[in-house]
Amino acid sequence: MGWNSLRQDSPSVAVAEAELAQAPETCVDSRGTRLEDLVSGVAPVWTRHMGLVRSETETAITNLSGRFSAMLQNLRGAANLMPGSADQMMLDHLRESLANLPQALTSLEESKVARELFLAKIEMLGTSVGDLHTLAESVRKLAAQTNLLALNAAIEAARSGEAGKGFAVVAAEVRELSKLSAETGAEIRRKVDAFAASVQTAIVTAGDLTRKEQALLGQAERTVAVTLEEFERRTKDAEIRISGIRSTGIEVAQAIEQVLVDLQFQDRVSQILANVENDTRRLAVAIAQDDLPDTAAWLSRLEAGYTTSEQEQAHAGTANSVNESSSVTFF
Amino acid sequence: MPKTILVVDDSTSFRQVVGMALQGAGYEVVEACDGRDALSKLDGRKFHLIVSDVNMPNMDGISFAKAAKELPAYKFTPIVMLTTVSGDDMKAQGKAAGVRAWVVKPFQPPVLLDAVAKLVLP
Repeated sequence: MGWNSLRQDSPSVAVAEAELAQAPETCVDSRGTRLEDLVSGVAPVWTRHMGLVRSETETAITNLSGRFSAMLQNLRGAANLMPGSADQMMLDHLRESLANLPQALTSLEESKVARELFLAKIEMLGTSVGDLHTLAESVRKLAAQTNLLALNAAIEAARSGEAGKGFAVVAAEVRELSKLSAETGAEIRRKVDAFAASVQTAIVTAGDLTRKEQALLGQAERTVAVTLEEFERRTKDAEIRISGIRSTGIEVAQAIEQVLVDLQFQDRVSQILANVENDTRRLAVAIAQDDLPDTAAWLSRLEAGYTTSEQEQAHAGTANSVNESSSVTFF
Repeated sequence: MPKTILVVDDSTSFRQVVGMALQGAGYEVVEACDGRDALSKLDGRKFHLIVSDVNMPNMDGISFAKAAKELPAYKFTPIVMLTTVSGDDMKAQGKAAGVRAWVVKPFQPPVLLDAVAKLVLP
Protein backbone atom coordinates (compact mmCIF):
# COMPACT_ATOMS: atom_id res chain seq x y z
CA MET A 1 0.00 0.00 0.00
CA GLY A 2 1.49 3.40 -1.01
CA TRP A 3 1.52 6.69 0.87
CA ASN A 4 -1.09 8.30 -1.40
CA SER A 5 -3.58 5.53 -0.83
CA LEU A 6 -2.95 5.76 2.89
CA ARG A 7 -3.78 9.46 2.80
CA GLN A 8 -6.93 8.79 0.82
CA ASP A 9 -7.96 6.20 3.37
CA SER A 10 -8.03 8.85 6.07
CA PRO A 11 -10.88 11.26 5.14
CA SER A 12 -11.30 12.20 8.78
CA VAL A 13 -7.97 14.02 8.66
CA ALA A 14 -8.98 16.25 5.75
CA VAL A 15 -12.37 16.97 7.30
CA ALA A 16 -10.78 17.89 10.60
CA GLU A 17 -8.24 20.14 8.92
CA ALA A 18 -11.03 21.95 7.02
CA GLU A 19 -13.04 22.41 10.21
CA LEU A 20 -10.00 23.82 12.00
CA ALA A 21 -9.36 26.34 9.24
CA GLN A 22 -12.93 27.61 9.38
CA ALA A 23 -13.06 27.99 13.17
CA PRO A 24 -13.31 31.63 14.46
CA GLU A 25 -9.97 32.90 15.78
CA THR A 26 -11.54 34.37 18.87
CA CYS A 27 -12.65 30.99 20.15
CA VAL A 28 -9.17 30.02 21.31
CA ASP A 29 -10.28 27.67 24.08
CA SER A 30 -12.85 26.06 21.86
CA ARG A 31 -10.30 25.71 19.06
CA GLY A 32 -7.72 24.23 21.43
CA THR A 33 -10.23 21.72 22.68
CA ARG A 34 -11.20 20.79 19.18
CA LEU A 35 -7.54 20.43 18.21
CA GLU A 36 -6.97 18.13 21.18
CA ASP A 37 -10.01 16.10 20.17
CA LEU A 38 -8.78 15.98 16.60
CA VAL A 39 -5.28 14.81 17.50
CA SER A 40 -6.61 12.32 20.06
CA GLY A 41 -8.84 10.86 17.40
CA VAL A 42 -6.50 10.99 14.47
CA ALA A 43 -3.12 10.20 16.03
CA PRO A 44 -3.96 6.56 16.82
CA VAL A 45 -5.15 6.15 13.21
CA TRP A 46 -1.89 7.62 11.93
CA THR A 47 0.01 5.32 14.25
CA ARG A 48 -1.87 2.29 13.03
CA HIS A 49 -1.37 3.27 9.41
CA MET A 50 2.34 3.79 9.91
CA GLY A 51 2.52 0.45 11.64
CA LEU A 52 0.66 -1.05 8.69
CA VAL A 53 3.14 0.49 6.25
CA ARG A 54 6.07 -0.83 8.25
CA SER A 55 4.56 -4.27 8.57
CA GLU A 56 3.56 -4.58 4.90
CA THR A 57 6.89 -3.24 3.69
CA GLU A 58 8.78 -5.60 5.97
CA THR A 59 6.71 -8.58 4.81
CA ALA A 60 7.03 -7.69 1.13
CA ILE A 61 10.77 -7.01 1.31
CA THR A 62 11.35 -10.15 3.35
CA ASN A 63 9.52 -12.19 0.71
CA LEU A 64 11.36 -10.44 -2.10
CA SER A 65 14.79 -10.86 -0.56
CA GLY A 66 13.96 -14.48 0.30
CA ARG A 67 13.08 -15.23 -3.31
CA PHE A 68 16.08 -13.38 -4.65
CA SER A 69 18.35 -15.17 -2.17
CA ALA A 70 16.95 -18.51 -3.32
CA MET A 71 17.46 -17.52 -6.97
CA LEU A 72 21.02 -16.49 -6.20
CA GLN A 73 21.72 -19.75 -4.40
CA ASN A 74 20.27 -21.74 -7.31
CA LEU A 75 22.33 -19.76 -9.80
CA ARG A 76 25.51 -20.30 -7.83
CA GLY A 77 24.76 -23.99 -7.44
CA ALA A 78 23.47 -24.78 -10.93
CA ALA A 79 25.91 -22.80 -13.00
CA ASN A 80 28.87 -23.63 -10.82
CA LEU A 81 30.22 -20.46 -12.24
CA MET A 82 33.89 -20.92 -11.48
CA PRO A 83 36.43 -21.92 -14.14
CA GLY A 84 37.22 -25.65 -14.06
CA SER A 85 33.58 -26.55 -13.74
CA ALA A 86 32.30 -30.08 -14.41
CA ASP A 87 31.40 -29.14 -18.01
CA GLN A 88 34.85 -27.78 -18.72
CA MET A 89 36.53 -30.76 -17.05
CA MET A 90 34.46 -33.17 -19.15
CA LEU A 91 35.46 -31.38 -22.36
CA ASP A 92 39.11 -31.39 -21.28
CA HIS A 93 38.96 -35.15 -20.57
CA LEU A 94 37.39 -35.83 -23.96
CA ARG A 95 39.97 -33.69 -25.71
CA GLU A 96 42.76 -35.49 -23.88
CA SER A 97 41.35 -38.91 -24.79
CA LEU A 98 41.00 -38.03 -28.45
CA ALA A 99 44.50 -36.57 -28.50
CA ASN A 100 45.72 -40.10 -27.70
CA LEU A 101 44.28 -41.49 -30.95
CA PRO A 102 47.09 -40.27 -33.25
CA GLN A 103 49.51 -41.78 -30.75
CA ALA A 104 47.79 -45.17 -31.24
CA LEU A 105 48.18 -44.77 -35.01
CA THR A 106 51.87 -44.01 -34.53
CA SER A 107 52.21 -47.32 -32.71
CA LEU A 108 50.58 -49.08 -35.66
CA GLU A 109 52.96 -47.30 -38.02
CA GLU A 110 55.94 -48.47 -35.98
CA SER A 111 54.58 -52.03 -36.07
CA LYS A 112 54.26 -51.79 -39.86
CA VAL A 113 57.88 -50.68 -40.22
CA ALA A 114 59.00 -53.68 -38.12
CA ARG A 115 57.05 -56.02 -40.42
CA GLU A 116 58.63 -54.44 -43.50
CA LEU A 117 62.08 -55.15 -42.05
CA PHE A 118 61.01 -58.76 -41.49
CA LEU A 119 59.83 -58.95 -45.10
CA ALA A 120 63.21 -57.69 -46.34
CA LYS A 121 64.87 -60.54 -44.40
CA ILE A 122 62.60 -63.05 -46.11
CA GLU A 123 63.53 -61.57 -49.49
CA MET A 124 67.21 -62.06 -48.58
CA LEU A 125 66.31 -65.69 -47.84
CA GLY A 126 65.00 -65.91 -51.42
CA THR A 127 68.45 -64.88 -52.68
CA SER A 128 70.04 -67.64 -50.58
CA VAL A 129 67.63 -70.13 -52.16
CA GLY A 130 69.06 -69.14 -55.56
CA ASP A 131 72.57 -69.96 -54.28
CA LEU A 132 71.35 -73.38 -53.11
CA HIS A 133 69.89 -73.96 -56.56
CA THR A 134 73.29 -73.23 -58.14
CA LEU A 135 74.99 -75.63 -55.73
CA ALA A 136 72.49 -78.41 -56.65
CA GLU A 137 73.24 -77.80 -60.34
CA SER A 138 76.98 -78.11 -59.61
CA VAL A 139 76.38 -81.48 -57.90
CA ARG A 140 74.44 -82.71 -60.99
CA LYS A 141 77.27 -81.63 -63.34
CA LEU A 142 79.92 -83.25 -61.13
CA ALA A 143 77.93 -86.51 -61.12
CA ALA A 144 77.63 -86.44 -64.95
CA GLN A 145 81.38 -85.82 -65.38
CA THR A 146 82.20 -88.56 -62.83
CA ASN A 147 79.92 -90.97 -64.74
CA LEU A 148 81.69 -90.11 -68.01
CA LEU A 149 85.06 -90.57 -66.38
CA ALA A 150 84.01 -93.98 -64.92
CA LEU A 151 82.72 -95.03 -68.35
CA ASN A 152 86.13 -94.21 -69.94
CA ALA A 153 87.87 -96.09 -67.10
CA ALA A 154 85.67 -99.21 -67.80
CA ILE A 155 86.59 -99.06 -71.50
CA GLU A 156 90.26 -98.80 -70.70
CA ALA A 157 89.94 -101.71 -68.20
CA ALA A 158 88.34 -103.91 -70.89
CA ARG A 159 91.24 -103.16 -73.27
CA SER A 160 93.73 -104.23 -70.63
CA GLY A 161 92.21 -107.76 -70.58
CA GLU A 162 92.75 -110.02 -67.58
CA ALA A 163 94.92 -107.33 -65.88
CA GLY A 164 92.21 -104.72 -66.01
CA LYS A 165 89.43 -106.90 -64.48
CA GLY A 166 89.90 -105.51 -60.97
CA PHE A 167 89.97 -101.94 -62.25
CA ALA A 168 86.76 -102.64 -64.25
CA VAL A 169 84.99 -103.51 -60.94
CA VAL A 170 86.17 -100.18 -59.41
CA ALA A 171 85.04 -98.26 -62.49
CA ALA A 172 81.58 -99.88 -62.23
CA GLU A 173 81.32 -98.87 -58.56
CA VAL A 174 82.35 -95.27 -59.41
CA ARG A 175 79.66 -95.16 -62.12
CA GLU A 176 77.11 -96.40 -59.59
CA LEU A 177 78.22 -93.68 -57.15
CA SER A 178 78.02 -90.97 -59.80
CA LYS A 179 74.52 -92.14 -60.63
CA LEU A 180 73.52 -91.88 -56.97
CA SER A 181 75.17 -88.41 -56.82
CA ALA A 182 73.14 -87.28 -59.84
CA GLU A 183 69.90 -88.51 -58.23
CA THR A 184 70.80 -86.77 -54.95
CA GLY A 185 71.61 -83.56 -56.83
CA ALA A 186 68.25 -83.76 -58.65
CA GLU A 187 66.47 -84.35 -55.31
CA ILE A 188 68.24 -81.34 -53.76
CA ARG A 189 67.20 -79.21 -56.71
CA ARG A 190 63.54 -80.29 -56.39
CA LYS A 191 63.54 -79.51 -52.65
CA VAL A 192 65.24 -76.16 -53.21
CA ASP A 193 62.75 -75.30 -55.97
CA ALA A 194 59.83 -76.16 -53.69
CA PHE A 195 61.37 -74.08 -50.87
CA ALA A 196 62.00 -71.18 -53.26
CA ALA A 197 58.37 -71.32 -54.42
CA SER A 198 57.16 -71.21 -50.78
CA VAL A 199 59.43 -68.24 -50.01
CA GLN A 200 58.21 -66.43 -53.11
CA THR A 201 54.59 -67.03 -52.11
CA ALA A 202 55.36 -65.74 -48.61
CA ILE A 203 56.99 -62.63 -50.09
CA VAL A 204 54.01 -61.93 -52.36
CA THR A 205 51.50 -62.51 -49.54
CA ALA A 206 53.44 -60.29 -47.14
CA GLY A 207 53.65 -57.58 -49.80
CA ASP A 208 49.88 -57.75 -50.34
CA LEU A 209 49.28 -57.56 -46.58
CA THR A 210 51.60 -54.58 -46.23
CA ARG A 211 49.83 -52.71 -49.02
CA LYS A 212 46.41 -53.45 -47.50
CA GLU A 213 47.68 -52.45 -44.08
CA GLN A 214 49.07 -49.24 -45.49
CA ALA A 215 45.71 -48.46 -47.10
CA LEU A 216 43.83 -49.19 -43.86
CA LEU A 217 46.28 -47.13 -41.85
CA GLY A 218 45.89 -44.20 -44.22
CA GLN A 219 42.12 -44.50 -44.00
CA ALA A 220 42.28 -44.66 -40.19
CA GLU A 221 44.50 -41.59 -40.10
CA ARG A 222 42.09 -39.66 -42.30
CA THR A 223 39.10 -40.78 -40.17
CA VAL A 224 40.89 -39.79 -36.98
CA ALA A 225 41.87 -36.42 -38.44
CA VAL A 226 38.27 -35.72 -39.54
CA THR A 227 36.91 -36.89 -36.18
CA LEU A 228 39.37 -34.74 -34.27
CA GLU A 229 38.60 -31.74 -36.42
CA GLU A 230 34.86 -32.23 -35.95
CA PHE A 231 35.27 -32.76 -32.22
CA GLU A 232 37.43 -29.66 -31.91
CA ARG A 233 34.83 -27.60 -33.79
CA ARG A 234 31.96 -28.91 -31.66
CA THR A 235 33.99 -28.48 -28.49
CA LYS A 236 34.73 -24.87 -29.36
CA ASP A 237 31.03 -24.28 -30.02
CA ALA A 238 30.18 -25.90 -26.69
CA GLU A 239 32.83 -23.86 -24.90
CA ILE A 240 31.51 -20.65 -26.43
CA ARG A 241 27.98 -21.59 -25.36
CA ILE A 242 29.09 -22.59 -21.86
CA SER A 243 31.10 -19.40 -21.57
CA GLY A 244 28.07 -17.38 -22.67
CA ILE A 245 25.83 -19.13 -20.15
CA ARG A 246 28.45 -18.65 -17.46
CA SER A 247 28.81 -14.93 -18.23
CA THR A 248 25.06 -14.46 -18.25
CA GLY A 249 24.80 -16.41 -15.01
CA ILE A 250 27.45 -14.22 -13.40
CA GLU A 251 25.74 -11.06 -14.64
CA VAL A 252 22.35 -12.24 -13.33
CA ALA A 253 23.90 -13.26 -10.00
CA GLN A 254 25.59 -9.87 -9.68
CA ALA A 255 22.34 -8.11 -10.55
CA ILE A 256 20.49 -10.14 -7.91
CA GLU A 257 23.20 -9.38 -5.36
CA GLN A 258 22.77 -5.68 -6.12
CA VAL A 259 18.98 -6.00 -5.81
CA LEU A 260 19.45 -7.59 -2.39
CA VAL A 261 21.81 -4.79 -1.40
CA ASP A 262 19.31 -2.20 -2.63
CA LEU A 263 16.55 -3.83 -0.60
CA GLN A 264 18.38 -2.70 2.52
CA PHE A 265 16.43 0.56 2.24
CA GLN A 266 13.61 -1.24 4.05
CA ASP A 267 15.59 -1.41 7.29
CA ARG A 268 16.25 2.32 7.30
CA VAL A 269 12.65 3.15 6.27
CA SER A 270 11.35 0.88 8.99
CA GLN A 271 13.43 2.62 11.63
CA ILE A 272 12.40 6.07 10.43
CA LEU A 273 8.72 5.06 10.42
CA ALA A 274 9.01 3.44 13.83
CA ASN A 275 10.40 6.67 15.22
CA VAL A 276 7.53 8.75 13.77
CA GLU A 277 5.03 6.11 14.91
CA ASN A 278 6.33 6.23 18.47
CA ASP A 279 6.29 10.02 18.46
CA THR A 280 2.73 10.16 17.17
CA ARG A 281 1.68 7.72 19.87
CA ARG A 282 3.48 9.83 22.44
CA LEU A 283 1.64 12.93 21.19
CA ALA A 284 -1.73 11.23 21.55
CA VAL A 285 -0.89 10.14 25.09
CA ALA A 286 0.37 13.60 26.04
CA ILE A 287 -2.82 15.22 24.77
CA ALA A 288 -5.00 12.66 26.49
CA GLN A 289 -3.17 13.37 29.75
CA ASP A 290 -3.22 17.12 29.09
CA ASP A 291 0.56 17.11 29.52
CA LEU A 292 1.90 18.93 26.50
CA PRO A 293 5.59 19.94 26.75
CA ASP A 294 6.92 22.90 24.82
CA THR A 295 7.83 22.42 21.18
CA ALA A 296 11.61 22.68 21.65
CA ALA A 297 11.62 19.98 24.32
CA TRP A 298 9.42 17.77 22.16
CA LEU A 299 11.68 18.17 19.12
CA SER A 300 14.76 17.54 21.22
CA ARG A 301 13.32 14.30 22.51
CA LEU A 302 12.27 13.33 18.99
CA GLU A 303 15.79 13.98 17.72
CA ALA A 304 17.32 11.87 20.47
CA GLY A 305 15.59 8.83 19.01
CA TYR A 306 17.13 9.19 15.55
CA THR A 307 19.34 6.39 14.34
CA THR A 308 20.16 7.49 10.80
CA SER A 309 21.88 10.52 9.35
CA GLU A 310 18.93 10.99 7.00
CA GLN A 311 16.66 11.57 10.02
CA GLU A 312 19.04 14.24 11.30
CA GLN A 313 19.03 15.93 7.91
CA ALA A 314 15.26 15.70 7.54
CA HIS A 315 14.86 17.12 11.03
CA ALA A 316 17.09 20.07 10.16
CA GLY A 317 15.21 20.55 6.90
CA THR A 318 18.24 19.91 4.69
CA ALA A 319 17.26 18.08 1.57
CA ASN A 320 19.04 15.39 -0.41
CA SER A 321 20.23 13.25 2.40
CA VAL A 322 23.54 11.56 1.83
CA ASN A 323 23.75 8.32 3.73
CA GLU A 324 26.99 6.91 4.99
CA SER A 325 26.79 3.76 2.96
CA SER A 326 29.33 1.14 3.86
CA SER A 327 31.57 3.35 5.97
CA VAL A 328 33.70 1.21 8.26
CA THR A 329 35.31 2.15 11.54
CA PHE A 330 37.79 -0.25 13.12
CA PHE A 331 38.47 -0.04 16.87
CA MET B 1 36.05 -26.56 7.15
CA PRO B 2 34.09 -23.31 6.63
CA LYS B 3 34.17 -20.65 9.32
CA THR B 4 30.91 -19.89 11.10
CA ILE B 5 29.52 -16.40 11.64
CA LEU B 6 26.60 -15.46 13.89
CA VAL B 7 24.38 -12.82 12.25
CA VAL B 8 22.12 -10.91 14.63
CA ASP B 9 19.40 -8.62 13.23
CA ASP B 10 15.69 -8.22 13.89
CA SER B 11 15.00 -7.73 10.17
CA THR B 12 14.53 -11.05 8.40
CA SER B 13 15.27 -9.52 5.02
CA PHE B 14 18.45 -7.95 6.33
CA ARG B 15 19.63 -11.26 7.76
CA GLN B 16 19.05 -12.75 4.30
CA VAL B 17 21.13 -10.02 2.66
CA VAL B 18 23.99 -10.44 5.11
CA GLY B 19 23.71 -14.23 4.80
CA MET B 20 23.87 -13.97 1.00
CA ALA B 21 27.07 -11.91 1.18
CA LEU B 22 28.79 -14.14 3.75
CA GLN B 23 27.72 -17.47 2.24
CA GLY B 24 28.87 -16.25 -1.16
CA ALA B 25 32.32 -15.83 0.36
CA GLY B 26 32.28 -19.35 1.79
CA TYR B 27 31.23 -18.68 5.39
CA GLU B 28 28.57 -20.62 7.25
CA VAL B 29 25.90 -18.44 8.80
CA VAL B 30 23.81 -18.89 11.96
CA GLU B 31 21.01 -16.35 12.39
CA ALA B 32 19.55 -14.75 15.51
CA CYS B 33 16.65 -12.26 15.57
CA ASP B 34 17.82 -10.11 18.50
CA GLY B 35 20.40 -9.88 21.27
CA ARG B 36 18.60 -12.28 23.56
CA ASP B 37 18.21 -14.89 20.83
CA ALA B 38 21.87 -14.45 19.92
CA LEU B 39 22.96 -14.89 23.52
CA SER B 40 21.03 -18.19 23.68
CA LYS B 41 23.03 -19.37 20.68
CA LEU B 42 26.35 -18.75 22.44
CA ASP B 43 26.06 -22.22 23.95
CA GLY B 44 29.61 -23.43 23.47
CA ARG B 45 29.63 -23.85 19.71
CA LYS B 46 32.40 -22.16 17.80
CA PHE B 47 31.75 -18.81 16.14
CA HIS B 48 34.64 -17.24 14.27
CA LEU B 49 32.96 -13.81 14.25
CA ILE B 50 29.68 -12.10 15.15
CA VAL B 51 27.88 -9.52 13.00
CA SER B 52 25.20 -7.66 14.95
CA ASP B 53 22.69 -4.85 14.51
CA VAL B 54 22.37 -2.23 17.27
CA ASN B 55 18.68 -1.35 17.49
CA MET B 56 16.77 -4.54 18.21
CA PRO B 57 13.88 -5.53 20.49
CA ASN B 58 14.43 -7.52 23.70
CA MET B 59 18.18 -6.90 23.80
CA ASP B 60 20.06 -4.29 21.75
CA GLY B 61 23.39 -4.90 20.09
CA ILE B 62 25.53 -3.00 22.60
CA SER B 63 24.04 -4.92 25.55
CA PHE B 64 24.51 -8.17 23.64
CA ALA B 65 28.17 -7.34 22.93
CA LYS B 66 28.78 -6.64 26.62
CA ALA B 67 27.06 -9.88 27.64
CA ALA B 68 28.96 -11.91 25.02
CA LYS B 69 32.30 -10.55 26.20
CA GLU B 70 31.52 -11.75 29.71
CA LEU B 71 31.28 -15.35 28.47
CA PRO B 72 34.77 -16.91 28.67
CA ALA B 73 34.26 -18.98 25.49
CA TYR B 74 33.39 -15.86 23.46
CA LYS B 75 35.62 -13.30 25.14
CA PHE B 76 37.87 -13.08 22.08
CA THR B 77 35.22 -13.59 19.39
CA PRO B 78 35.34 -10.45 17.22
CA ILE B 79 32.08 -8.50 17.01
CA VAL B 80 31.25 -6.29 14.03
CA MET B 81 28.32 -3.90 14.38
CA LEU B 82 26.26 -3.49 11.22
CA THR B 83 23.75 -0.72 11.82
CA THR B 84 22.05 2.39 10.51
CA VAL B 85 23.37 4.19 13.58
CA SER B 86 26.36 6.32 12.70
CA GLY B 87 26.70 8.67 15.66
CA ASP B 88 30.09 8.92 17.34
CA ASP B 89 28.61 8.50 20.82
CA MET B 90 27.11 5.13 19.89
CA LYS B 91 30.35 4.08 18.24
CA ALA B 92 32.13 4.99 21.47
CA GLN B 93 29.65 2.82 23.40
CA GLY B 94 30.32 -0.01 20.97
CA LYS B 95 34.06 0.33 21.37
CA ALA B 96 33.67 0.30 25.16
CA ALA B 97 31.58 -2.88 24.85
CA GLY B 98 34.38 -4.63 22.99
CA VAL B 99 33.13 -4.17 19.42
CA ARG B 100 35.99 -4.41 16.89
CA ALA B 101 34.43 -2.71 13.85
CA TRP B 102 31.43 -0.55 13.03
CA VAL B 103 29.86 -0.77 9.56
CA VAL B 104 27.06 1.61 8.62
CA LYS B 105 24.05 0.34 6.68
CA PRO B 106 23.32 0.11 3.84
CA PHE B 107 26.47 -1.86 3.22
CA GLN B 108 28.17 -3.02 0.05
CA PRO B 109 29.08 -6.72 0.40
CA PRO B 110 32.79 -6.24 -0.47
CA VAL B 111 33.12 -3.68 2.34
CA LEU B 112 31.59 -6.01 4.93
CA LEU B 113 33.58 -8.98 3.63
CA ASP B 114 36.78 -6.98 3.84
CA ALA B 115 36.09 -6.09 7.48
CA VAL B 116 35.14 -9.71 8.24
CA ALA B 117 38.27 -11.07 6.57
CA LYS B 118 40.43 -8.74 8.63
CA LEU B 119 38.89 -9.77 11.95
CA VAL B 120 37.68 -13.36 11.59
CA LEU B 121 39.35 -15.88 13.90
CA PRO B 122 41.65 -18.47 12.33
